[in-house]
Amino acid sequence: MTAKLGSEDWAPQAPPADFAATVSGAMPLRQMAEEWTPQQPASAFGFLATAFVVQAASGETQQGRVGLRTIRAILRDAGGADVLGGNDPSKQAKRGLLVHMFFRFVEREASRILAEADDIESDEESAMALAKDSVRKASETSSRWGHDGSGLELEEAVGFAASRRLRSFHVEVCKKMQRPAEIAGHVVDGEDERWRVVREAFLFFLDKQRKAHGVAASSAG
Amino acid sequence: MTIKDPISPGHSPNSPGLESPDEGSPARVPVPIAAGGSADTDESPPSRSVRRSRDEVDDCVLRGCVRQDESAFTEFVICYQHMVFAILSRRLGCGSHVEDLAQEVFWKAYARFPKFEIREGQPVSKWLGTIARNVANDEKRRRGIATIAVSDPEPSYAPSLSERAVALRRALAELPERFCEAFLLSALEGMSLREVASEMEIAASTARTLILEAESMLRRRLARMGVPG
Repeated sequence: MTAKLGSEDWAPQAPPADFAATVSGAMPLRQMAEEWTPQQPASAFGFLATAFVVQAASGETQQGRVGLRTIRAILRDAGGADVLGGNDPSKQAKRGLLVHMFFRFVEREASRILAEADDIESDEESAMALAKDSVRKASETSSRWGHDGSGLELEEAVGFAASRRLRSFHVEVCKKMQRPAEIAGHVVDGEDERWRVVREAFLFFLDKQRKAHGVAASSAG
Repeated sequence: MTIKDPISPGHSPNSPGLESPDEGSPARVPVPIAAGGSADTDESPPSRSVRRSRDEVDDCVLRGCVRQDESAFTEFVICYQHMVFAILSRRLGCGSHVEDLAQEVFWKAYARFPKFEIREGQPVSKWLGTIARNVANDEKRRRGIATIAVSDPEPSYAPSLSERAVALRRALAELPERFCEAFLLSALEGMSLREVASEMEIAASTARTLILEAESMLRRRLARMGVPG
């Protein structure tokens, strides 16, 4: 029996086709995240976050999947920084969840959004609707993710720093959209801003998609 | 009983066949996890030698990895990703967590490469395999898995398995941990007896006993399940 009781009987999980490219591309970012200390400027986080978005949008990660561990490492590092927002635990948790959700959105939904972008209307209302839907799904994923405790760990880690990090991220996204003046001094806080950040990131994706297809720029600019 | 030579035609890092453990098979079985001679079970880069075979990346790629060159590292990942996925998924079951953990394995390798010493006699796959098993063991503890996962957390990620493979998995999960691990290393990861002993930090005679007894227990369990051996 044991002569053939081996791997030919029990095929393992195969890596996805883009695994090597995704991992290799994420490693420098992961290294930056690991080496980044809270004493460094918050914009470093914004840079990293933007890099993820750009990677996802440009297809460099192919599936828009940067790697949960890499994202966690970044957010974990963000957790130690001095931040805006005080010590209200509920707000901290909310902000943590916000970051959590947003990165899940980037990670899981970017490729789907890009795939669907050709099929939807280009007006902002449609964009918002899809962005909200994406975040809702990301939130559901986050809830499932939290069942094993890792979600809670993440929220705890990022909660204290999320506001500043999101602001930096928002700034970077807007820079990419060539709208730096609009976001000067902006602080992300509250429900509306959540959608705002998501919307702008989403419109950034759309612009990338349109440019890739030679279509005129959207109303996002 | 002898272990098939993994260098034989058609061998891949994930398809080593087992005939049986053979204490007398020395360093002729270098891949996927070659005989390193001594236990090197921590995750520090091998400071001794790195043996080459056609299933190992060449020195040029390794030097690139030491410099953390992205294209070299991509080649490194391509070469060993199946081995890492096999180590993780057979212990933890299939699912997206395997992709995350595999990325963690390669991250650890990437971060440690600058201190990696390229030398003859010890394959990089042994070093990476040890990292992967340590990551898998950490996750097993976190998930409360004693031996191996008996089912896939996300079945959509799993290849379809034969009835016998399903039965083998279930039977293997019921073995005592050391027997299960010895069988995994030998039968499914293609290690020689000496390599199993090195990896588990036990005497070769003990490794031989564990493997033979594991096979015997599996045989009995499969028979009880009505699965032909």
